[in-house]
Amino acid sequence: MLNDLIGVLIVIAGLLFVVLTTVAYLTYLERKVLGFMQDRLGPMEVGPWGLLQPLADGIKLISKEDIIPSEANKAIFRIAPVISLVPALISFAVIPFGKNSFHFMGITTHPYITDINIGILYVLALSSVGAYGILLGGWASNSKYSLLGALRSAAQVISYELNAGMAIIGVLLLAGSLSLVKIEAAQSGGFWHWYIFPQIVAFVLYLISGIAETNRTPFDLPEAESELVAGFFTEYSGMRFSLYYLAEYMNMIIVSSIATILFLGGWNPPLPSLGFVPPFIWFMLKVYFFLFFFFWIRATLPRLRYDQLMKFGWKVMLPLSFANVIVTALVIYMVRR
Amino acid sequence: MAKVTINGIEVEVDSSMTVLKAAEKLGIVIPTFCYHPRMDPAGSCRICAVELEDSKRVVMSCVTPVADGMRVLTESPKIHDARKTNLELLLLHHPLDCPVCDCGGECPLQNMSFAYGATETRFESHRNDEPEDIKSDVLVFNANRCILCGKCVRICDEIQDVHAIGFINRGFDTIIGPPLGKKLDCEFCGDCYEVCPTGAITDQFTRYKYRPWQLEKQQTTCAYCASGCQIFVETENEAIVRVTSREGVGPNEGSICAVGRFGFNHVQIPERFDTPYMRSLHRLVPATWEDVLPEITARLDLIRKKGTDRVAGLISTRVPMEDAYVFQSFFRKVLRSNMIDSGARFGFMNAALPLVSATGTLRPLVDHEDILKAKVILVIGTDPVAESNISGLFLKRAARKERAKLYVVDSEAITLSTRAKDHIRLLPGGEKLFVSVLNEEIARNGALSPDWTARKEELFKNWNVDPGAYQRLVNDLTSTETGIIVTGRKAYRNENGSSIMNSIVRLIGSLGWAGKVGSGLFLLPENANDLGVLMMGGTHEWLPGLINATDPSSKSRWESAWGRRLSYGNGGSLGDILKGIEAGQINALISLGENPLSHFPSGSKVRETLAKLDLLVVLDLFQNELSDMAHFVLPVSSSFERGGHFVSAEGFVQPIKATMAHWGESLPDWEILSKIAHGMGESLGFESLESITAEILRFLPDLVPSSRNGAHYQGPTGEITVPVMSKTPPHKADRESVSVKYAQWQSGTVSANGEVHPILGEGDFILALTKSLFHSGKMTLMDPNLMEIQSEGKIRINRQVARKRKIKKGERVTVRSSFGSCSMIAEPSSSVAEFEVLFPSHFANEVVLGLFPPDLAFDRETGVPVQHRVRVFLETQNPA
Amino acid sequence: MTLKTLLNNILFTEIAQGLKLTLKHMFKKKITVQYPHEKLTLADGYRGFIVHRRYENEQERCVGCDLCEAICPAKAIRVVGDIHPEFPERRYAKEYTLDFTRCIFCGFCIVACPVNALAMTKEFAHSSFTREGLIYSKDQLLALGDKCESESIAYLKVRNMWGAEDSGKEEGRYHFPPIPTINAGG
Repeated sequence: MLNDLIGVLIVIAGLLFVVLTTVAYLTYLERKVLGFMQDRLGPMEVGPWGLLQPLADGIKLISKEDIIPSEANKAIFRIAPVISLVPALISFAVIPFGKNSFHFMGITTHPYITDINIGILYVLALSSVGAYGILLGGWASNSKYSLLGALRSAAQVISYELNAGMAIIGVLLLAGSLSLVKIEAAQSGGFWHWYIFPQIVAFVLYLISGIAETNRTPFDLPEAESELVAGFFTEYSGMRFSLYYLAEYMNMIIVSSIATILFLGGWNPPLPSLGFVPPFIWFMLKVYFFLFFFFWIRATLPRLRYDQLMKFGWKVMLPLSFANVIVTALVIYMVRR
Repeated sequence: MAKVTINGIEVEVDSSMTVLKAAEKLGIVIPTFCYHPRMDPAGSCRICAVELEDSKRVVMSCVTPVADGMRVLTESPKIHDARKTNLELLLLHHPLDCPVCDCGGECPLQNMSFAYGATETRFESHRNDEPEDIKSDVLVFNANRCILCGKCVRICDEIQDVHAIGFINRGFDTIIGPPLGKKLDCEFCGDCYEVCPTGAITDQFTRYKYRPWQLEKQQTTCAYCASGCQIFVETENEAIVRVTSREGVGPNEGSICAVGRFGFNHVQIPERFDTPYMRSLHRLVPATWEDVLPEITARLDLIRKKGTDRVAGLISTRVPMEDAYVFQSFFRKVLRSNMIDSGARFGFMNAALPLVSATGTLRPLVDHEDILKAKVILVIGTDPVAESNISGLFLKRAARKERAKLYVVDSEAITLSTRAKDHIRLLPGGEKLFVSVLNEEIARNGALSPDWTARKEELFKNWNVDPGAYQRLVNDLTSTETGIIVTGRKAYRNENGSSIMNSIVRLIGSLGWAGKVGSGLFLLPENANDLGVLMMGGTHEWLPGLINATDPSSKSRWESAWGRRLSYGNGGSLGDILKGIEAGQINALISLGENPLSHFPSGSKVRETLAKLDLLVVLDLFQNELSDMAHFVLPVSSSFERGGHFVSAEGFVQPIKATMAHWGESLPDWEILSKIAHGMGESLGFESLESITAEILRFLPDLVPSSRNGAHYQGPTGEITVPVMSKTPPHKADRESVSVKYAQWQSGTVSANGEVHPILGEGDFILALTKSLFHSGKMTLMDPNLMEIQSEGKIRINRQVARKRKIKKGERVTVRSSFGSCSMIAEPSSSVAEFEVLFPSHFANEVVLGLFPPDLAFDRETGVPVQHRVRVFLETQNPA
Repeated sequence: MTLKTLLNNILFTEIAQGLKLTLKHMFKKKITVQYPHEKLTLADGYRGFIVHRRYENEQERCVGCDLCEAICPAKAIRVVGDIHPEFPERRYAKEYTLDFTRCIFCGFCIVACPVNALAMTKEFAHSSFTREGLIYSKDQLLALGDKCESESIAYLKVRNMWGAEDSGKEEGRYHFPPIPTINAGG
């Protein structure tokens, strides 16, 4: 029992380390990728090749003054970034980073914190809670830019969460389980088992919805700089500002992880003969591919207009996802008969 | 009349006109360099070339008279080529130093070269390398830039009649400058600098300090003498850089004298008061208006409650008439005092009192235009060139160009005497006798009583009057169609000034000139606004409009106009004020820029008298003897910083304008007085200068602003009915009403033959104080530019006498009178009579004033302080 | 909607083209110059800080003619002319201030200058903590000019304003005579 507890704590510590480092270096990576794609060099000054830039940014953000607007609703203003960050963080509890159990000093542990049987529902639920942080923060700032950003964010999350959920249903029908570990296990044995092929439409829908849910370009309307200064976090500064930032990047990781698990077979190697590479590495490679794809999209596409976003979400994505569920269900029914 | 076609437009002009003037009439501009509208054409620059269409010839439009049927082209390829070639030739010598030339930016030659594109010359350039003539302290001659148009030489000869510069050498070596390579010594009017079409003549005061395009130009009226010159004050960042004139604008027609042109710097020197001062523990310390005004108000309030005529006031005659109006309103309404007097009391009142009683107005019967038309002009008791330079200019022109018979009666050979038909050089002291005999002779038509015959004989025998010249003068005066008598400061300030002026005013009546158009008396007031201040009631005699201030019936007219009772006392002039202070009946004195101490001999007890005052408030620009004694010194705006109106000698009411920023915390006089009145709980009802002008014009509509050759004021028409002017409003007196009044006055009074003040003391010479051309008071003495032109007073001695006495130029001599002695620098001069020595009055400091008798005497009729001349000995100070 | 556009829409070809382009640029040579560590070579006509120049005999060239002030579109220049204290026939700038906070580095003043007293240099990295620190007086401009003399000459040559200097003739741009050195040795 005690050993189990220690094992979980070790996993949590390791996970936090991995996630936070990833988040920190994601900012660096994003700036580098964007810079390279724009024929620039990106951060170069702090450390060799600017490698210590996230550290410098962190120190800067922590040491900055925490400004609270005098007209703001102070309690909510203070708590909102936390509401945004915490769901993102605890979503990682169900993400399986690898397959094998570790045995260390008599403690047995897994590369995931827990494997609950409704893992995917848990993630979807928490990502909806995260939207409250944005909504409350924008409202509590008592600034028209923040409020507009928050309203856009709420509408956007509702619209695209729906699509994401509908897209996932196809995969769940195929896997027959809500547990992320089981979904991964169902895709083992070569890349032709991955759900990306039967569920290509769902994959595209999920990817688009994922980008929209994390408020990334081309769906970054809640924080559209050219219109709303900085959207919902216009009035935030210092540590609170960085909490929102962390939340955004964590959401990116989660979306990437879910995409990996649902469509690219999670920790499974593409070919059974590549099994000598640890599953953790396979998992991270796939996640990082999605993250890179996020940056790549950002460097390529301009921001949508708000009405385009809504029209696209409700008139194109939603019917498609329904169709996908129906077709998948019909096909499964036919095959099983 | 001749019909001419210019550029296809037909015009009918007088056949004496030149083609240039005919084109001007059509509004066609022909470029010129050497042409000047007031001078004879020279035809030397060859730029005004025009083409005759019939003969295809190129002629100079400025010298070609029009002919009937002439067809002229002012612009054609041929003309363009001719002008361009001319420019190329001019630019052979002209250095291209436009960037450092003061004229660059307003240079006709530059503009023309630009217009005709004469950028490259086909000839080999030949640059002169003549060094600049910077010997003069005022003007700089740069022979290299000169295009030899000769305008400067001609204006000096024809308009100014000074002949200070001329052409030197011949051919390519011709340069312009003072004769014999000497330092320039002239009237420094700067007209040559004004007309120069290039930068060949510049002045030392503004040289290299400005660029024309940076300057902002504003027309205003000169505040020195009463000629009423229209000057253009050019400022950069609200600081005055230079003063210019514009050809043909104003009564001065574009000429201004040295004082007007260069005397602008006194208003922007650090010595000027920039903050109020308050006496504290025997010292004047800087204070603020907020400190000073309540204090003055409280103390004045206590004094005025003691009774009427408790506060005395003096006003300078260099303030606009609006200030004089507020001054007298303040004293008569608020302080209930009529103890007011103006700077005119020191001289001009001698003329104003008889004139007003004779004509009822101070407006002149004649003006400068009449001077030019007059056949006979008598100049007596004045040196117009020094006293009122521009009037002098018109007199010169009348004598020289219009061939008027000019008579000068003066002991000194004044500038005009060389132009005079006869210069009657009578001995000092005989002026009164001369005018009274002349008046009697003309009044009696030559039939003199034995008594008067004896006096006439005395004039010939004892006073050096040439009988022939005298007779010619009498004949010309009685037989002429139009005649003008010009008189000025020397007559007013004569020890017998009152009776001299009385006789002169009478003489006009005796001659019958009062009713004769174009004839009359032309008075040269001493200061810019002598007329205006008196018209506004700046003295105890008159209420505004020259209405008797003590007569109840005339007083009631203003009472009903102002809607309040006037309960001031009988009042008095300067003499009464001093007596009143002495007797303790007057406790306070407010002086608006007037300094009585500088006028009285230092032996007199004026200083001790003034020390008895409980309150002495001085409003002035600069520190002076009176401000040193004052309890409060308040800084006032100069005439360059404020608006208002001046009345010129010709009767024009001309505006002054704010051209520069207010100096420090200075305020206009009227504003200070209004604030004090407000503090005492009485409102004078003036919020702005415009409201004062409006009130003056409501009650005295004949003072509507007017000028010659200028845009006329089109007054605000509202509650006051100011007629909108379509032509020049009258500035001269109405001759019909004046002549009727004159006759009444002439018959109603007897000719004053009052006391004769002899010249006091003993000595070989008679010392007289005269006005210098370059100075007119504290303002000019504080002016760095004018002090550069004339920095100290020198005693002028007859050249022969100086040679005999072995007095050299620049040597110090001791001047000793029965009352004191002082040392002065001698300056031998050919114009001074051998029995006279002259000293510029504005340099007369305490030491010089110590030469004069210390007792105070005031004229019984006019209240003017009698200013004696004294006999003096000259002693050379040979160091051996 | 043709089949082709439908296919294009379904397969996201346009987005794919964009992604291809950005990906290609990722591997291109970067054009960033790491400024404090590496610097570009500036051309001779570079419009950097404006300086005052001197004649060979150390006398300042400026004659205080105000033409630079007149032409300056940003009103950055202020010249106060006066009579030269030593040479009473000469004009000079008693005060000359150039406000680099207003200067737009257009170079008009150099074109306007009749004596080549002004030139531009390759100096550009002047900064100050106060506004006043960037308002340069004549002495500062002269000192900077002494420091960057070769650059200023190169500028004038490149901008075709050196002809009159070399020709020695008075044609073209007027060549004001320099003040002779007071001490023959100096």
